[in-house]
Amino acid sequence: MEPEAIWKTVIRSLAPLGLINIFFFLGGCAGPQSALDPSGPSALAIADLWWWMFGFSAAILCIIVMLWLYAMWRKPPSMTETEAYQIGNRWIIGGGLVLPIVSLTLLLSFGIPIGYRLLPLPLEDQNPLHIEVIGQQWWWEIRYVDAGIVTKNQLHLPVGRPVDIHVSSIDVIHSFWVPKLGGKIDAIPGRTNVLRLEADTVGHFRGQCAEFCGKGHAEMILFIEAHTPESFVAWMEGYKHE
Amino acid sequence: MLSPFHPLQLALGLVVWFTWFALMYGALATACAVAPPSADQGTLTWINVALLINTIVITGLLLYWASICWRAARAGNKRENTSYLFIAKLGASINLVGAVATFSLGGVVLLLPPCL
Amino acid sequence: MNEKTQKLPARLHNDFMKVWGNPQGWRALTIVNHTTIGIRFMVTGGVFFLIGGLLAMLMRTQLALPEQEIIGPELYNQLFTMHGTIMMFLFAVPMVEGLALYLIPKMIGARDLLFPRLSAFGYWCYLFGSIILLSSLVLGIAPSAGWFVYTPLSNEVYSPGPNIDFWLLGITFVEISAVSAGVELVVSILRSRTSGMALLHMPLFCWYILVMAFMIVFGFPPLILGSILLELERAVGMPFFDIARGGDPILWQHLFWLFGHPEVYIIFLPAAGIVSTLIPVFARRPIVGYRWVVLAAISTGFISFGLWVHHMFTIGIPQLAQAFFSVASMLIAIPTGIQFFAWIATLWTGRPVYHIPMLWLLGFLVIFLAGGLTGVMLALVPFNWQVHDTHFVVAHLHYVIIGGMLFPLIAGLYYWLPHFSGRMPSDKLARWGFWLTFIGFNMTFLIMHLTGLLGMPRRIYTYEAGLGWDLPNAVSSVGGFILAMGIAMILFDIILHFRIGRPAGVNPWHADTLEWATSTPPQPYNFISLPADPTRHPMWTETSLQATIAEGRHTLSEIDHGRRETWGSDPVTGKIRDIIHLPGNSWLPFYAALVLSVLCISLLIRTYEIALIALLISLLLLLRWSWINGAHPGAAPDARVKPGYPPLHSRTFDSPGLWGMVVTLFSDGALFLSLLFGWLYLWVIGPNWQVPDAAPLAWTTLVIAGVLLSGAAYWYRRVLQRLKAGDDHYLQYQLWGITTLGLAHCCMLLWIWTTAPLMVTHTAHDAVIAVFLAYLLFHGGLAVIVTGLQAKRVAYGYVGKSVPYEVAVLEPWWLYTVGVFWISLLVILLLPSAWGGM
Ligand code: HEM
Ligand SMILES: [Cu+2]
Ligand SMILES: [Cu+2]
Repeated sequence: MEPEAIWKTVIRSLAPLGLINIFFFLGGCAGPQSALDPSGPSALAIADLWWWMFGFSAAILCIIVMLWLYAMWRKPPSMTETEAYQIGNRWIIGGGLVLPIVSLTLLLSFGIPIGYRLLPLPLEDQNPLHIEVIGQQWWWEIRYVDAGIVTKNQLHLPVGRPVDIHVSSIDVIHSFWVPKLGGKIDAIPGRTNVLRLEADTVGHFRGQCAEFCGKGHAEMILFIEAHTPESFVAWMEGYKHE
Repeated sequence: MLSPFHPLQLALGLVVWFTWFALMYGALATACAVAPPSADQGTLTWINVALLINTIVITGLLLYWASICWRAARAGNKRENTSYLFIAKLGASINLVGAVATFSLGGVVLLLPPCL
Repeated sequence: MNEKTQKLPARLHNDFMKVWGNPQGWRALTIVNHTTIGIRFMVTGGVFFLIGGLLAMLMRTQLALPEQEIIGPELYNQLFTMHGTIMMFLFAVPMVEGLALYLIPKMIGARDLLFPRLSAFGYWCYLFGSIILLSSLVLGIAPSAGWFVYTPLSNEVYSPGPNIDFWLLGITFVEISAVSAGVELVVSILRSRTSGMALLHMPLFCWYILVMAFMIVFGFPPLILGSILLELERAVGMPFFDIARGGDPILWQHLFWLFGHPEVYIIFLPAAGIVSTLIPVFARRPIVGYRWVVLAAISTGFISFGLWVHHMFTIGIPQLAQAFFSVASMLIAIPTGIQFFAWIATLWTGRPVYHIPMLWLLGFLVIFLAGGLTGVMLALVPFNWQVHDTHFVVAHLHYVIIGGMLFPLIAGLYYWLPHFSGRMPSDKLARWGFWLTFIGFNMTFLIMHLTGLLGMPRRIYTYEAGLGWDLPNAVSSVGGFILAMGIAMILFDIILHFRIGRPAGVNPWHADTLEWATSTPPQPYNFISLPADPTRHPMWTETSLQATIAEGRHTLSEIDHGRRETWGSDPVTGKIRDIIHLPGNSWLPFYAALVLSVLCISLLIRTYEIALIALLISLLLLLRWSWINGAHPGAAPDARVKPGYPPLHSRTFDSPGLWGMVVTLFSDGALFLSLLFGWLYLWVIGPNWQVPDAAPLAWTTLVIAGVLLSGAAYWYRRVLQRLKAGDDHYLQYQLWGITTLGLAHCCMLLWIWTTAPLMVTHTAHDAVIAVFLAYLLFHGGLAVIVTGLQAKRVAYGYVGKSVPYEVAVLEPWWLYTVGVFWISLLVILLLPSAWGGM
């Protein structure tokens, strides 16, 4: 292969990568439902994880592609079959065993502790706010059990206090997901799953059903408002008076 | 045990791995359904310990098999038909892969509570 | 060389064509030859790829701009369901199977696959099943619950109408074809390699296909079981997946993904096999690390069975269990890494030449690697919780599937094009096709990772403006159309090359494997004579191989006996054991598949009388099929072979038929294990599991039935042993006796079933027991029927001391039936008492 053709190939194959970068740096990550625009500790941990993984993977991708192209292009010195065998073994052990094992160990040593911290573990100093969410075709029923409040498609939260969302369903499987706060959990008939979330900025976010649930799946949207603790109390009081 | 030159060596180590894995997953689910330890016990529960012991035993077994195959391949260099040498060598690495897979999966029980 | 041998090639060819030739016109439907069947599979798969692609274009049109109303939710849901289903079941799997069916015998130096009628049957099942499934799209009642049809959405309450039934029945029908091809490939690779081709001389492609075929054998049964259960729930009301009556929808997810994850590797491994075949050819040297690559293929095959839960990280199972599957998913990166570096090392130490297939392999490298990297990310539980079921996953899966399967496939297509047609493709058009596809693909799917991270779920037919999703979606849609243009260009190139491509000549790429020793395009018999003791690179060590084969200078070149023959060899060393004679063209596969599709349709419209009739007719056809074997005049009545040659396989006890039976039982066993898993799963995990107060089955009668069955099986074993010792006294009467005993067992079982107080529509508990009973009855019944058939064949002289092989073939079936009977009894009767009536 000609060197010129190689360069062309390299540039062409990397062009799309450039494209995605431009998006990122134009601030394309913001949005009311963006996992890359976190408003809570869980979402933030995951977003950071993503950026690290993205950088690392992009580097690996580039290195291996370059290596392949170089291997195609270079004119190898003449070698015996034993030499070739040794070189081959070195590549396979270095690239096929050591590289993935090291990378995966690294990844897991970050990933598993992060996963652990997302669990609804017992808290020491406070009780999480208990909210029940019941998915149904095609809306969300939100119950504040202690306060006796029930809303439809409206989730109000206080900032700075962990919330345990108890998710279930009365018909098919749905999935509760507010990307700016954290990951999703499925709403499954006959089961109750608990998701620990916390908001750390005041504002309006958007959530959406993430498990296909039939005709109205695209319209099963949830509106979230994160209040300061005072205005959250005020909202509750106001709601009860209605 | 199976002869190191038997063609089933190409599957045995990983069959054992898969069976071990399925049973481990099943045992965990059953244990959590029958007698879940309380959440603040962390990772030091009887379930984790039992699973860990299980892991170590199976890893040891697979490593032992791998070494048998490997040594047979070495020793058989002159006597055996190359086809069977090939099987013993490949069998050694399959058993080794099984051991590595068993150990790296089972090691996780050191890190997480069982039923949360 | 004397004068006589010089005239031979043309004469030999004519003689061989009298035996192997394919008929024309209507009778072409009877063809069983693997070359024809393989091409039919690939062409049909290609058509479905275009249809699936068309559906994708419709979806991309709808999603191009926010809040569009071109396609409503009902239609969109049908579109993505059918797109996914078509691509996975009707394109990807049949396509790689077709390629394998076409190539494997040629690569291992055989004349055909070992069960030619089964190949044809598989093709017709695939074709008819696909047509049934697609007809739903035309009628506007296509399945619309996604390609993994999760319950409860897919049950009778939330999906009334026949939509989901089309999926369940059509796909099960297609799966019959997949499994039969799997069995056939396993046995052919193990038992019909040419004389002296030891395992370690086998081309890498064959290793990959061997692993894939085993994976099909073990991987498809969970879904077949799941589909049967779900169809029973929908049609009869047996509540396997219904929470209220003791079932569990999550059981469906387990069964589906137990199949679904291996499925992805079933598609990928053959593609990796293509890569491992092409790289050495274009690097002009043998692959570096042959044993490493074999190890990687086998490990990938196994490990991929231990990952299924990574599709279920958000259903709320304990984090520790999730971590098991997370780690297992990452482990798979290691064998993949080994293969990548074996390929790189081969290029590194070789002297690569640059042709069109290499361009596609480069595309494969970039795209599949990117997909693999996002796969590792997805295996990390916290990250998975964010992006699961978003467009990030859509992007990831297309990177792995299109990069990991379509790109190598097209590389392979270009590579074997001269083999199919005898002509070379054009360089220029091919380049255009590649770059359009590559750029279009990345434009569509690279940005889609971002779309997903910005919060766009998958499977939504529209979205609001202003969420940041507008631009990425527009880019994806434009990219999709560029991609479509690329595909069109490739198609154009291929069609054109049949007319204007320059003739390829012998072995145009200087390849090393035996398939290039056939003529191009190949003749139905592949080789006039079968080369003995090939090395790993027969075409490199013996450059004149094509000519000497055609001149009949290697082995097994006699044809005057009028039989289709190929070598039967030892699975490990490749030493010859027997001559396998293969059946010729037949209408039976076509008719059997046709009647089965009537069965399928009548189940679909729920007219069970017709279904029953169709079932009986198909049984008759299959029995007729197994009648024409061995010493039957239509098979090999005359067993004479050349002096010094091994016997015909039907005159031995260890025939490929036996191997086929055992591999089929592996598959059957996987189905049984899935059922066992379902039963135990519901016991332990099912949130509402209900056990009746009194056991519904009386153990005494069951034990008696079991004793009858065991007695029959024991007797059968004795008969076989005596036959092996050369004693066939009273063979016919003994077989009738066994049949009678087995029949008594079946009657008893039927009686137990009909008198038991099973309330199959009230509790999942009773429903599962009913399935166990049906399973046992099916096995017992079939054992009885086929044994009776052999007794009859003894009377005709088709079975006996000198033609014993069918008696040997049936033995594992009897033993298996006994085994599953006692295991079922154990878990049905003992589990409740062990559990203490909980
Ligand atoms: C030819 C270019 C292709 C395009 C433009 C395309 C586009 C799409 C789109 C738009 C979706 C639906 C996303 C959603 O709403 O959730 C989808 C889903 C899917 N595609 Fe493709 N696709 C292409 C090729 C393929 C191929 C070759 C395969 C497999 C061999 C494939 C397998 C799938 C699967 C399995 C799904 C998931 C279906 C589901 O959610 O039930 N696609 N594709
Ligand atoms: Cu939904
Ligand atoms: Cu998977």
